[in-house]
Amino acid sequence: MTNAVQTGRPTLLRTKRQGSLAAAAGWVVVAVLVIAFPALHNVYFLYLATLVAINVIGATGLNLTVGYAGILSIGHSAFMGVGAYVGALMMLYLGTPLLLNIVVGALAAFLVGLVFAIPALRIKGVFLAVATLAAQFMLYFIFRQWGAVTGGDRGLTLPVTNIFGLGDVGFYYFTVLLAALLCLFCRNLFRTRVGRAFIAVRERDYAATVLGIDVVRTKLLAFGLGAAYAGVAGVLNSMYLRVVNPEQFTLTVSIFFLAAIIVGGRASILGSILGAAFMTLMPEALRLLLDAGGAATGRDLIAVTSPLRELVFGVMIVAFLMFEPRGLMGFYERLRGRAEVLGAEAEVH
Amino acid sequence: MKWNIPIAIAGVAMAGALLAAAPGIADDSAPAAKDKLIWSIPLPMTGPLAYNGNLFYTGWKDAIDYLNKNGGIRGHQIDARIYDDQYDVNVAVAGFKKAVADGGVVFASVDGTAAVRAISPVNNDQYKILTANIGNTSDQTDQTKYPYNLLVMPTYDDMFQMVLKYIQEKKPGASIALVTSDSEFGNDPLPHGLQTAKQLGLNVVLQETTGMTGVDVTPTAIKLRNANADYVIVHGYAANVWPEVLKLAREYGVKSQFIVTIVAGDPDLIKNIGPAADGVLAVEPFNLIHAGSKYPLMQTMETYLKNWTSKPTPYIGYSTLAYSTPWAIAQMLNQVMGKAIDDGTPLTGDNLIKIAKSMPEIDMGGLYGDRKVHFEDSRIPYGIIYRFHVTDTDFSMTPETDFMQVGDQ
Amino acid sequence: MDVLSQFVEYSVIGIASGGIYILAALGFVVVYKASNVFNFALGEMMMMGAYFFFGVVVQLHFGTLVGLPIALIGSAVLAMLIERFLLRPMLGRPVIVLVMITFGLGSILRGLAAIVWTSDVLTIPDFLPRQPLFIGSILVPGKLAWGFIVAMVISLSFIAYYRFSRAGIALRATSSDLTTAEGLGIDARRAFAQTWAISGALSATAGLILASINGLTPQLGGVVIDIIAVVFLGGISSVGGVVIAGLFIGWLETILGAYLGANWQSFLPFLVVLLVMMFRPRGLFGEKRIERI
Repeated sequence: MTNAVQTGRPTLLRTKRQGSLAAAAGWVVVAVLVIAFPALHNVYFLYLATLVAINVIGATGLNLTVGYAGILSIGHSAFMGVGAYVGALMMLYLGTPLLLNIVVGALAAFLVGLVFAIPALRIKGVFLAVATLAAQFMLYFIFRQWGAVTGGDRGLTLPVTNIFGLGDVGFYYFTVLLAALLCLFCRNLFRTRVGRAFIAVRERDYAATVLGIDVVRTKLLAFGLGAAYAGVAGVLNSMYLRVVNPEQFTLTVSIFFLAAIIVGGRASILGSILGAAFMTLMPEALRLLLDAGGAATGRDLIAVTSPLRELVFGVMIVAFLMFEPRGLMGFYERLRGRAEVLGAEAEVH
Repeated sequence: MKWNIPIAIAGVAMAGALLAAAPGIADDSAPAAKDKLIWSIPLPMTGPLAYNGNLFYTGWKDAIDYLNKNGGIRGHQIDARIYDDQYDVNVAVAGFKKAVADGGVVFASVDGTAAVRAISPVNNDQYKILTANIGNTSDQTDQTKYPYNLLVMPTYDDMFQMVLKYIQEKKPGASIALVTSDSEFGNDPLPHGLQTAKQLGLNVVLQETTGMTGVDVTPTAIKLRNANADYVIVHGYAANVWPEVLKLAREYGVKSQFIVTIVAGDPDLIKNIGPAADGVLAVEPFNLIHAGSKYPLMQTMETYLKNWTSKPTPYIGYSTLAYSTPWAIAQMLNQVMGKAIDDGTPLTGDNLIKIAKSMPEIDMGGLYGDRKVHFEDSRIPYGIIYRFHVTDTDFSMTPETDFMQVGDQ
Repeated sequence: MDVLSQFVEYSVIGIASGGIYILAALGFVVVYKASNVFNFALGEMMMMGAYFFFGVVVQLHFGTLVGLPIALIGSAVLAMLIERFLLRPMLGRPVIVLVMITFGLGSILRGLAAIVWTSDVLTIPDFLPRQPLFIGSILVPGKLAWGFIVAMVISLSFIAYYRFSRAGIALRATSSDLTTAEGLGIDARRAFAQTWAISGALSATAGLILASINGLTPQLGGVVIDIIAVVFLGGISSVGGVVIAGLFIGWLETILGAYLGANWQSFLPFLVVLLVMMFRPRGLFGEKRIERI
């Protein structure tokens, strides 16, 4: 197992050297597409795109914790919930603006994350996974039972958030912009000492200590930051759907995000983006496929094929882990003919 | 040629957008689309409520097949867009947005409580499409929050009201034990139910909550033994937990009369519980007895039920709530949309909801027996209590009451 | 009935219910001890065991006496297949990979069960006698009493097997040091396959009991979450610890349910787990060997 700190750096440099012009052109095309997207005038696509952007933020956060820092978290959606409830309560009772709600929601999720990160200081592996599972269930319990504040099972219903006076389109632009900024922040983080400490801790705790890295602080920060990203995603989700409800923050949702970073690619920002998009759009794509199949064969396929979604979901996770541990990023990089570089790269803990 | 991430994404995005946009554009320009009435129908085919998915699905499929084979609604065939929303709010809203984006949708079914809460704000402000929920949570009658939503059944509060009224008539001052699941469904009617019990002079001697799932439910049975209530009302379960509570309670010598609500009163389930379930009562919105029914619609449904081959248990003469609900919704829509078409008004949510609420009688084809029913505060507050007769070899259910109207027994 | 004797009754019932926790929890422990895999799909393996039983007894109309061994053997075979084709190729991979493999496997099994048996709720016939037993004047329902007896017999014989039999010693050797054990001529692969088979049979037994309480659906495996607390309280590497913790959590859940209400049952066991993870990660009885910093 080689050290990703060493292999990671040259990889970045290579990317930069090679075709930076083409990359820039590509990004311009992406930006134009993203900006022009609402011109399709389709509320369904707009909704999905906004949802993808929200999930990109959530997945990037989880990738920070799990992919980069190697701390397994099965309680990600609970931190989303913390952000969602804090944001919603501020909006309802204080009437504070969206940006402030997002900041405070993220902060709240960060702090709650820190509490549950305490076990991470002593344990790792499956023990840590179970500690985060405890976070999942305890926070879910609080969402449901603290009815006076959270609205209990019925949850909270929110007034509309109108950004730039553009309604859903405004929300789309805002969310995409925020997702882009947070991804950029994450990318730059791993060019700093703090970010690389995450990776060092993941690879070798002891070695990291020897290198003068404060392992305790690094782990707390990695977990807290991941939770904060989840908090942002939570606030956005609640503002967008205008409803906060405990059922949005279950174990299933946490596994959804874990699956997203596995499918997309661990320890990769583009991987988080690809994974979140893939996981969000897969049920819709399957539905389109079924509709088309049904229309073609004149038969309703839904009853037979619905359980298939669950099967496909599982097979996909297992298949990626077994055959392409670097997820869609792995595919992509292989397409670019960089398999050798990857082969040398360390597997993520 | 070297690949490049952004270009690849851009290409995929563009291709995807074009592909996805193409059918949408085609739909808008096709004049034939006018002739069909598009219904959007999300169902919990997978996820936590999947056990109901097949029942709802078959109900919808059959109900719409029947409508379409009989000329649709005033000659307009129904184009049902059924999909699996996994009982997930995000997916449910996606489906709703897809329905409005594809255009022409005149009705959207709603898969449960969380979904109706998520869809209503945006529907109220922008799309104004008629919706009907398949879940019975009580706050749906709030017409300021859910102005476009209908429920063709009573709410949980209504059902509790009916049960408590029934108990009060049978045995004034009776003692009652409430057993509910620790879930949104279980908690829903508690505040109203406790208040009603007090008003009716009934004595709630035990209020017990159990998990939705459990490893052991013996403590609940012990509490029922200690409470020794005249009646035990069991609410918020499907096939989970409560049959075991019932069996254990009987083993502890509990003689109380059990009354269960809606999904827990599924005849197939009760039959499987066996003799322990003999004499159990269930409050249900609809007429579930099809064998030998005098109503043509109930007979038609029976034909469909008999042809339902993929069901794991064979037809035993009775329907279940989840199968009958789509029929009831379809029956209601047939009349409401039919009237709108007759009147020449467009099928907007505003028009349809006005028609639905102003109809003095909705013909439910025997789903409410002989009872003439209508909407009150956007729901149909009628129901019936059944009694089950179960032995090792025999099973039947009989009406314990007539169809009742809430607050009017 | 006075307060004290009521407490005693709840305590007896609670401890008896611990038997079911132990059966399920052992399924986790035996596999973890041998191969360091924590199987989050154990709940789904329980569910499959119950479906096998349903298939043989209800669909094919064989008796319970035929259904029970077939369900146990079927689950053991399924577990061995899972080990051979999903987990063995992944040995030595990081924990997140192993954990996610088992989550993926859970999803696969749920999908398969829904395709084969639909998502409708099925009822399985009781396989334990319902005839209650009496301890003094305290009635213990048949299912609980027999569940407890079965759990005790299985866990004690397992402890004995593990301690004294050749195969058991081989298992212990592979779990403490794979390389050395292989060097000594122990067939680690066979040992892994064995533990998975045992785990499969154990989970099928637990699954049958849980299905009779919760109804049999593809979602049945979710109940396993209640059991994870037991495993980690007792210590995932200790069979004896899990037996004691199972009895304790069974008691705790019953007392919580009896005096505080069921909603706390989903909270306090996990609080206990969190505290255990913070202060004594190896559990109350676990071995000291643990992944620490």
